Amino acid sequence: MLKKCLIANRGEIAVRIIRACRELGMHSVAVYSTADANALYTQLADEAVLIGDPAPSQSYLNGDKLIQVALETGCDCVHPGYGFLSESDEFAQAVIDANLIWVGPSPSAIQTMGIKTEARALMESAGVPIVPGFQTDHADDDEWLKQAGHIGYPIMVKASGGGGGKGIRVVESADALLESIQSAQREAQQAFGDSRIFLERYIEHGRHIEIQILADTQGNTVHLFERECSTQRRHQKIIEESPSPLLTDEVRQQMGASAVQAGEAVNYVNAGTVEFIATPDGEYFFLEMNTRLQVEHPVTEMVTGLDLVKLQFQIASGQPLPFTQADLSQRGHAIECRLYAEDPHNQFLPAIGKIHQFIVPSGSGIRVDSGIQSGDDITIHYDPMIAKLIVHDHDRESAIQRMITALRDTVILGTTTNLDFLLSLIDNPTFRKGEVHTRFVDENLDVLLPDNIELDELALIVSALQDLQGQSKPTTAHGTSDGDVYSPWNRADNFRIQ
Amino acid sequence: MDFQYEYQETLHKLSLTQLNANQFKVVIGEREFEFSAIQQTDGAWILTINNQRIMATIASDGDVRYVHVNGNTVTLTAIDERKQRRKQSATAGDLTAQMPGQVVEVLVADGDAVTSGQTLVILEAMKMEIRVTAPTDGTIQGIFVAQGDIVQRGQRLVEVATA
Repeated sequence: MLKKCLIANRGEIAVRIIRACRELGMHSVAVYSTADANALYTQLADEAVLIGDPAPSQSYLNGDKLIQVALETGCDCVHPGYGFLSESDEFAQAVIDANLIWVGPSPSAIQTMGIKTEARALMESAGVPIVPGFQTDHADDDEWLKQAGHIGYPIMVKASGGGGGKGIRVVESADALLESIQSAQREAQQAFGDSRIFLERYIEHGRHIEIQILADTQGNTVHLFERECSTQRRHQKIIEESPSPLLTDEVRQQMGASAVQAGEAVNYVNAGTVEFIATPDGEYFFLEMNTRLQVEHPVTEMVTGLDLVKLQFQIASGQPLPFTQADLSQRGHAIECRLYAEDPHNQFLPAIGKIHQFIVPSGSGIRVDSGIQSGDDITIHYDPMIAKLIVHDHDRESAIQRMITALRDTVILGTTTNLDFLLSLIDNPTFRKGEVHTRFVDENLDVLLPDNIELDELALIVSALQDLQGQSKPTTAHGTSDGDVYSPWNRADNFRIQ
Repeated sequence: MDFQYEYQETLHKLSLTQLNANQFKVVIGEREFEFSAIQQTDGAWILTINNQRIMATIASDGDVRYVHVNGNTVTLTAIDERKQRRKQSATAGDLTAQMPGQVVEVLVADGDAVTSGQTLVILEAMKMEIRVTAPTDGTIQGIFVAQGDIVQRGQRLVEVATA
């Protein structure tokens, strides 16, 4: 078993990985930029090492520095989390070259699946259904127009070199095609240093359904069922759940088998996710594969009862999977909401500030994964995610109700968050019916944006209580005081005991 | 004791008196009633009004009160009527930051003539770039930030005097 891990990440996923390490009896080493000096994950790790300035290029993207720290602290493995360098085949190779174990798939699997057009071509030859499309390294304007005509409009222009919503254009008709291609090429060049694009049929009212896979070093690959992530805004996921309200058992099994095929086609090892776009009629097409652990992995953990991060370490240690496909099943229903420090009423722009109070909901079937604690600052340097709120219950209706209660019980004071927006989404009739498709949020923002809450007079009363109590005692040199209004130590006069 | 709080541009007033250890009387709107309240830890209150127990959490930051009660979170601003407070608000000619971020570049200098639509300042946050442009033709009458500054939402960047 592996003994000491360098976590090449930060925030909530670093906390998650540290927890798995502790449960496995492994030591953990955290790295932090100056902006993260007081972050929760640095306090939970066994060791924490400062690696640089806040800018990711100076810290969490500095592969050489990360490997140096891993070696200096005596780590035997590196876990990249998600984002940052988790899908960098060069970093993975550098880790391996330094005689450290990479907790993830091979660099070649990362590389192949990283180039979207290569991934598509490989899937096609492996018999995995792909979105009807066209790709080539050399095409002139006439060729693009001709091929787009074959596929049919609307068409998606997508970047070959990467994802994350960059270099994507939806084209409604032929006259907009060439301009959209050029625009996408420019954006792709900027984002990935690779201007290549390809065309795909645009699936209307598509449902984003992804399959979690796990593969060990002994050639065993299994799928851990699906997660539906159709509640998105501008291609960014907001709510994820499992099982998908759309899938029948038959389609689920087919997709699972396709996902396993996809993994086997690249000799995949460790945890990965195969993303599909599905139609309401039960058709599904391969979109891309994410060769890392995903943000929404807790959803799968709740319905399968498995710990994916511990399994990742076990696989990386060379152990075989402790189960077969037949041993696995989904139980109940899980939903995850992503809580962000952003302002839905100001175009969802990030809301930096201090979190004065953060109290998470708790109880049966409620799980909160967070890297934030009361007193932390949300800064401009990183993704403003506060927490992932996950619930599990025996069916979808109950899970939705549990999530509503959990959201209302979440206390987050000090900055603007999307909490009310999440409540609006989860309570929305289309979401409750399980009919949300990937464009639903963008197309219905006006309906979904929560109205400003009517002021509850209790809020005024509580503020007055707090201020009344604050008035009746002097503040100490440090500005703190105990809560007792009648404590003699809080009197401003010179009392004497007679 | 009288209190005033502003919530989304509307001022609300109430009066609160402590009767004894955990008993209070409040006068709010047209009504007056008594209730009990206990503070568990700093900012965490349990109120009992007509036999109903209500939990609330509050955090203060200067004049701002963040309150969570009955499943909702609101932000209030305490208004102290004894002091004459002038709200520091931006005037029409001021250009402010639309989002928190960092100033990448200031493209103009004090006194420069600018045309409508001309980019004056470039801000950056989380890999998004925002160009702050002149709303009309005019002259730069004040630059309040410099390259590298971190800015809050609503912070003044540049003032443009219309021609």
